[in-house]
Amino acid sequence: MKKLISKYWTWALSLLLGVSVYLFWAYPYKSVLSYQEQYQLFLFGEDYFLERISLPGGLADYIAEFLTQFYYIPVFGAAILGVVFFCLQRLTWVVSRRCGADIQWFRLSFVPALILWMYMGDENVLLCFAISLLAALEFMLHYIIVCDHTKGYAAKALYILLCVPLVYWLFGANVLTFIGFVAFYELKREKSLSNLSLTSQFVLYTLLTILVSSYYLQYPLFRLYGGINYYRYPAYIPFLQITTMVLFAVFPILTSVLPKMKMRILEITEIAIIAVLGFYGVKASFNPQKYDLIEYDYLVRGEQWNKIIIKAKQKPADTPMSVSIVNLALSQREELADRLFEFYQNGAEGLFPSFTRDMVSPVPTSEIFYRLGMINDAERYAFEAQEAIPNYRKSGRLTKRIIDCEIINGNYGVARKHLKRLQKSMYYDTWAENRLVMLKDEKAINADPVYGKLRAFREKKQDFLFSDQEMDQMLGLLLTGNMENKMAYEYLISYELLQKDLDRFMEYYPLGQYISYNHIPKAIQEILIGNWMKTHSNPSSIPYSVDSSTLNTTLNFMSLYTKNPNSPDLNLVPYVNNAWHYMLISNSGMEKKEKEKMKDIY
Amino acid sequence: MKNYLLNIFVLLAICSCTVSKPENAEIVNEQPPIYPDYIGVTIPVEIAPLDFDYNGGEFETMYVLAKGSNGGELSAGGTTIEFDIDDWHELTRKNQGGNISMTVYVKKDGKWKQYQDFNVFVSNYPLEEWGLTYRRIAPGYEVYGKLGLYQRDLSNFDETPIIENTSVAGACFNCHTSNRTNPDQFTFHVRGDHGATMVQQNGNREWLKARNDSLHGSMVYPYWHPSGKYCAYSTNQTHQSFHAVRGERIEVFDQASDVFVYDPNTHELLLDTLLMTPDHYETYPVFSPDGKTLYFCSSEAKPIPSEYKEIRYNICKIDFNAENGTYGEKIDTVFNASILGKSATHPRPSYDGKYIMFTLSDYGCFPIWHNEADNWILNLKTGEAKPMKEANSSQTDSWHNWNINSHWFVFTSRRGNGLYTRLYLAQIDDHGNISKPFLLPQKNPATYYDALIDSYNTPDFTSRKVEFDSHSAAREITSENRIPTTVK
Repeated sequence: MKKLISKYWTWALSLLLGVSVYLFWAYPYKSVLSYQEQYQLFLFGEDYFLERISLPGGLADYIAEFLTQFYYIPVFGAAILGVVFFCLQRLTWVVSRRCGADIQWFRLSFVPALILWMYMGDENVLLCFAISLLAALEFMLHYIIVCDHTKGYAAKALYILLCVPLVYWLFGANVLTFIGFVAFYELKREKSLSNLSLTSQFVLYTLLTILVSSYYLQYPLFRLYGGINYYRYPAYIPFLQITTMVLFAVFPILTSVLPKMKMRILEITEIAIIAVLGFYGVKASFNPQKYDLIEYDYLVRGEQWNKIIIKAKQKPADTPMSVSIVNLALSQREELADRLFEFYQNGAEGLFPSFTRDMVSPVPTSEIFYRLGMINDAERYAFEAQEAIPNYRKSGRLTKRIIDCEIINGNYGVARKHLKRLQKSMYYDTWAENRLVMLKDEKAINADPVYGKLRAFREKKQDFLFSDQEMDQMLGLLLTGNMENKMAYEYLISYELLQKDLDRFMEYYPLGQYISYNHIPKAIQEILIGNWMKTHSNPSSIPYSVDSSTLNTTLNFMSLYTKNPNSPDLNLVPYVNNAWHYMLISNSGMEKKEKEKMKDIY
Repeated sequence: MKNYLLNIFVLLAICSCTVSKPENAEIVNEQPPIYPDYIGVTIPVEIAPLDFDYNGGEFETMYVLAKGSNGGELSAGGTTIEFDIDDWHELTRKNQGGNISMTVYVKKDGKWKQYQDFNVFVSNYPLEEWGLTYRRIAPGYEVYGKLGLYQRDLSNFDETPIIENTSVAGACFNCHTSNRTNPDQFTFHVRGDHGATMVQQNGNREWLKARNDSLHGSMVYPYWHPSGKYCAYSTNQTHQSFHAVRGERIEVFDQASDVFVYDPNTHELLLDTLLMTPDHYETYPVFSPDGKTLYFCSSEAKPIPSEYKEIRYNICKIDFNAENGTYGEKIDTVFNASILGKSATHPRPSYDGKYIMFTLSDYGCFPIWHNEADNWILNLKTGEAKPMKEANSSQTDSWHNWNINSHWFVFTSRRGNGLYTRLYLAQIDDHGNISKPFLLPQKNPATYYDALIDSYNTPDFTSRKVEFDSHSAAREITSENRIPTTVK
């Protein structure tokens, strides 16, 4: 056993890294995989391949997108990342070993991979970067092999001459990582003037190769030198990306110059560095607030309404996006008007967050509009989110939603066009096939439980221009158009309550009698009780069907508040969950939602 | 680069599947269902080959024989019809003024069917332009992804970018306009953080400040004076809103707009109170071919958005003296659309001075989002205006431009699927007869247009390829160096 361990311990540690990466993404961070998958749409077919390969780094991009599509099923995505990190670490060590690193320093070979893992805490880092690093390492290894098996300069010069443009075009700016390594390797190997000159020429050749390509490409130089498809945002190259590239380039040389020594303290130091980096570094690099939102969106995507509510119970949602998701989840469980005030509310923003020009927040808002039957607005938000993807990719999830809207609106030509694209995808093709068949059968569309219902809900007669300050009027039109639209009623009532507009609430709440309720929702009961008691002294005279616990809690709240509006007891359960707590104590909703300005074009 | 790679693939595909003329085909008494619908269209000599696809369901392969009325013959076969470019050009040259008869054979379930022949007419009117310029952008709302200004060689399928927004992150380009199809002078706008109006004359670029305090908004909708000494612009406060009902998507409207002329030599704006009235919206200025008249659209100003459906534009004109840059003293109405309960926009005078082509819609200044929008033509000699029925469709037909001899025009249409605008070209003869328009030819067109998720905007002809240093331009856009304009 001891012999086995001493023989395979390096493999075991590498495997441990792969498994750690797998577990990390398969469990606590699986929502990130869904996030990555939903902002790209890999399509099979030569057009798509040619589109990718026509830019530097195109092959790495194509491979990365091909692999990222498997993130649709998180365990596959996590496994892919586990394998990528395993390979990165192994290759780093193989190159280091070929450079002369002692086995003593094996544990340090985890450092570049861990730095990359930390860098990937930024959700905009694309897998393409990791794939191209793998390629760069492979070409480094082959360079060493060429040097080891040939004499003189000719072979390696020929290798560089051929490989630099090849690596650049297929894998992008990580050609700089490759050539950086070559430079350090040569400087370490032979410090003669002629070798220095040759190395300089290698570096110059690489820089010129990239420069020459800029004349044929509509990209700024800094992006060609920094990688077109390594990072989702095109405006800059992150510092940590440059650090990672430099690290991968110099690491094999650095480890090769470390002395051969066998000291227990060194082993402990190595392990400590790796542990610190691996645990605290990775943990610190994943921004919990950001990933909280990503997880909320993931749960919406999977229609996991219960999990959303549980999550909000554990840690209150407090951003417009997360609050709106919690309210959406409540509405899908038909509990919004009952439990609205059990959760933190931030005014009408918590129902309909203001539109922002990004790819994230319009996605769940689109979901809200869609389920309400505001089909045009659902499509608009989905389309805008897709167009806001900074690296100009399309999205399978959003394309599906756009198609849903087009089908509901009867725009079959546009739906068919998008469906034909989805037919070329791996995970959306079956859905697309089914919808294409459905397009030929109007009855099937009307009979579809979702399409049929939303066709009945959507506004059919009275056209109006969207105004986010008149959401109640739009919801009112939706509701009067179809009194079975319970969600529209709950949003309408919630909108007035969150705006603290009790006059309009009193105007609209009676519409609830036409909705299929078996009781008056709790939030409505609380308001009705409080309102009644403003003008009456005897609670038994309340003409509404209210339950005793709601009545008692509301009366107690009123009594406490009348005695001392600042009483700390008011901020405890159950009073903190009473509608009147929001009305009288909470600052939310004090400022009415500012009217969204009309969209400037010019 | 993508095009080169695609060519290699196509070449390999062609080499790997050749189809010979079928024998004993069953005669079918109907026209072949093909995409695009090239049946009975009129084309200019040396246009790119009218490649097409079979649109009649599952099939195995097809074969097409193209015979010229004045001689010449060409064939192609496979799952998509691709004619050799040189052979096609030769065939069109040989048959100028005649027609090319197409015989389509389709193999289904192991049996060949021969459809009725159809004709493609080859016009006597030459297309004197090298190609087209246009913008490509997804038909979206407020946010835009990848977009660019492109040019397309009309004799083949080559499309090259003039500038794409990959070169300047977040930038939007629009309204690329050359002077009478001559790219020596052209202008376009940059929107976004680095806003500017670019004016290039004989290779020299100038970047104007996007806004001038004397104007209500940015410089929009340009049109060059034929002398090249001036360029007319409108300045608009344009907004958009979104409809609730299924048949409508976006409403774009101006809440203020005026018209003025810009002098590129002095960077001066020539303003006139007649073109900047507070009670009217003036927009879409264009010069007559002799440069003595400035046409524009004008609507009574009404409260927006409450009365946006009451905004209706007429086509008006005012005299313009290019010698001293002065305007006439009165406005005349050339076409009164409002009395028809309609709105006339996008006027484009033909360069031969005979016509004004414009778009007619129910209301508003932005017919691109109006399904009912159609192109109309106004005969300036007789004053008669009529819809261009031969070229219009039930979907939006709008933005149009003439070629230099005014016998060809290009326009955008949503007839394909109701949303994605595509480019169509058609001919108008000496007697004003309009031919059936044809979709801009593409190689493997069904696949191409299915995969294309952009719309074409603001197409125009260009007499030759636009020379534009996009790399320097990108640097200049981000440099923020802008030339201010002054009021004369």
